[in-house]
Order: sequence, then C-alpha cells, then structure tokens
Amino acid sequence: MKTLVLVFHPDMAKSRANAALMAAARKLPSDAVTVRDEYALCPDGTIDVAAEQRLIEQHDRIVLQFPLYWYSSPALLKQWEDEVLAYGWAYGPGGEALKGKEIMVATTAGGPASEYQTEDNGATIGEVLSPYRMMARYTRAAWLEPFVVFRSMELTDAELATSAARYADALLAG
Amino acid sequence: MKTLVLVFHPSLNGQSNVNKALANAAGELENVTVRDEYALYPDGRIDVKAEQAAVDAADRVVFQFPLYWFSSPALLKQWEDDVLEHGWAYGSDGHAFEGKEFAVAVSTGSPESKYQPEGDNKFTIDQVLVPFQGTANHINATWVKPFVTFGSFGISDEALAEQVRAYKAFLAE
Repeated sequence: MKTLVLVFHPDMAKSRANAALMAAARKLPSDAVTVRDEYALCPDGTIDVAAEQRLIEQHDRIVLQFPLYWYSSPALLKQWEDEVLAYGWAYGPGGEALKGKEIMVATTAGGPASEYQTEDNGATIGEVLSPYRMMARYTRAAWLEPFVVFRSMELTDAELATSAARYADALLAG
Repeated sequence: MKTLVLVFHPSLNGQSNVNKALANAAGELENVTVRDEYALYPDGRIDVKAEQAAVDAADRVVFQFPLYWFSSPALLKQWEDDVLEHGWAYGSDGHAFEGKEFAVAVSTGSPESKYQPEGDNKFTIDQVLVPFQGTANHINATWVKPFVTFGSFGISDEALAEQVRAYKAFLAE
C-alpha cells in the first residue's frame, strides 16, 4: 500500500496544526508515504497536471489534507480537482485512474466538534465533506473515514502531538 | 432591492451555454449588476476591495456557477477565501452581509434524478450546497433557496428559454 498525501495550506509557515500533521506524515517511511506541499509546489497557481496524475497512478491511497476554509478546501485544492481530475482520465470513457484506489480527507477545523451539529450550523462534518465523498464515488474510488482535527487553533502541544500520532496511524492503517 | 450576480464560469463566452444565457438574462434586468469574474481576473488575482465594494452596494448577492466536482469552479473558492475577510464578513467587526440575502444559482450537467438518495450521485443538490449554506450562516446572510438548472448538458432550446424566464423571476423576487 503506497499512500500519497497532498497538503493544501496557502501559508504553511504560519500553520500549526497542518504543519504538525505534515511533519508526522513526512516521518513515515518514504517508500510507503509520499508527502507533497502543493502550495509550495505551485506558488503561482499553475498545476503540473501530468505530474500530479502520474503520482496518483503510482499510489494506492490518496489523502487530501487541508484546513477547512468556508466549509470547504482552500482554493488550490478546488483548482487541483478541476484540472487534474480530467475527463478521460478520472471519469468518462477510459477514465479509470482513481478506480479501486482509496481517498481520504484529512482536515482541520477551527471550531469545536459541537459546532458541526445539525442544530447549529445546520451541518455535520460529514455533510460538509459530502462534495469530496461524491467526487470519490464519481471516480469509483473507495471513501475512507475522514481524519478530522477540531479546535485546531486552540490545541495544546500535547493534544496536537496526539493528533499527529493518530494521523500517522490513519495513514498507514489497512 | 439591488442584486449583485457574480458569475463564475471559466469560459462564459466560449463553451458555456446555460450560464451564458442566464447571465445575459440577468444583465437585462433593472437593479441587477452582473460581474463575469473569470473575465475580470484572468490571472486569478482578485481585487478584494472592488469585490467588497460591489457587495456593499447590493442587498442580495447571487453566486452563479456550473457545478464542478460537486462544488464551484476554483475562482469562486478563491473569492470566498480572499474577499470574505475577518473584520469585514465575519468576526466581531464583520457585518458586511448582515441583512443581505445570499443565493446560489447553479447548473448541473446531470438530471435531477441523479441527485437523489437512490440516484447515481447519492446526494441531493441541497446536500451538495451545504458548504455555501454554512458560509451564508457564518456571515449572517439570509440563505435563499437555490436556483438550480439540472441537466444542462444537451438542454433543449425550449427548456433553456424556460429556465431563463424562471431565473428572471427569481432575480426579480
């Protein structure tokens, strides 16, 4: 099982939670886990589509890691989906690149878990992430349980270390 | 009631059929301002102050876009990330959308039958749009029932004309 972790954070230098998660992923054996800091790779917003597609083809599990911005991803991940998940490659005739692979979303939310309840914001985190679940379904990839860190801006160092260890486990599970 | 329609289609005057027709129809209405965001920002660098001024001048804001990967085209996500600033759209000093209406006008390639629990996509369009509704709630705007054009691939001229009429009525409400 080879895992590809695509990290989408526009300002990793200022990130705490995503930086810790990315660092935990980078400590895993590099023959099992590949980690890419996509904003650093695409500073002007130009995505190397062929390179991204080739990496997906070389891995079995694709992890999309990002901070939750406006109940969705930072813009570059959306652009990545729009450009990399191309017709005839990810879907449509001959589009089977994701078929049989696993997709996992790993996200950090500033708010507490209690904010993502039907009574409050009107949506659970599962509902918020449903566009990604639908994307997995559309590309015939298997959908893994999302990895979610709540209260990402208030975590103590010890809590963050626990989350990072849990993340490393989730990346290698199965 | 002044309405601002922000259109996010990467090729509005090229490949678009439905969104072009809807945007043109919106532009014919009084009290409706239409902005073709991809044409305004071909390099993806959004003029945040200009966008905020456009929102400030409106009573209702409509995001119009084709559904890409069960969400908006990337520039709309950039718009949210850049324009909806802390201290303007949210936070203790962020009141820009308070009292404004907020709507989404979205087109899908697939017919409505696919957006059902038992359909191919498994989720309804309301579930797909949860992130936008959450955004509206977070900025204290009033969420208006979305205007949805299903089955935009291969839509007949007749069905498109009907949607154009319905969109004009939706925007005039």
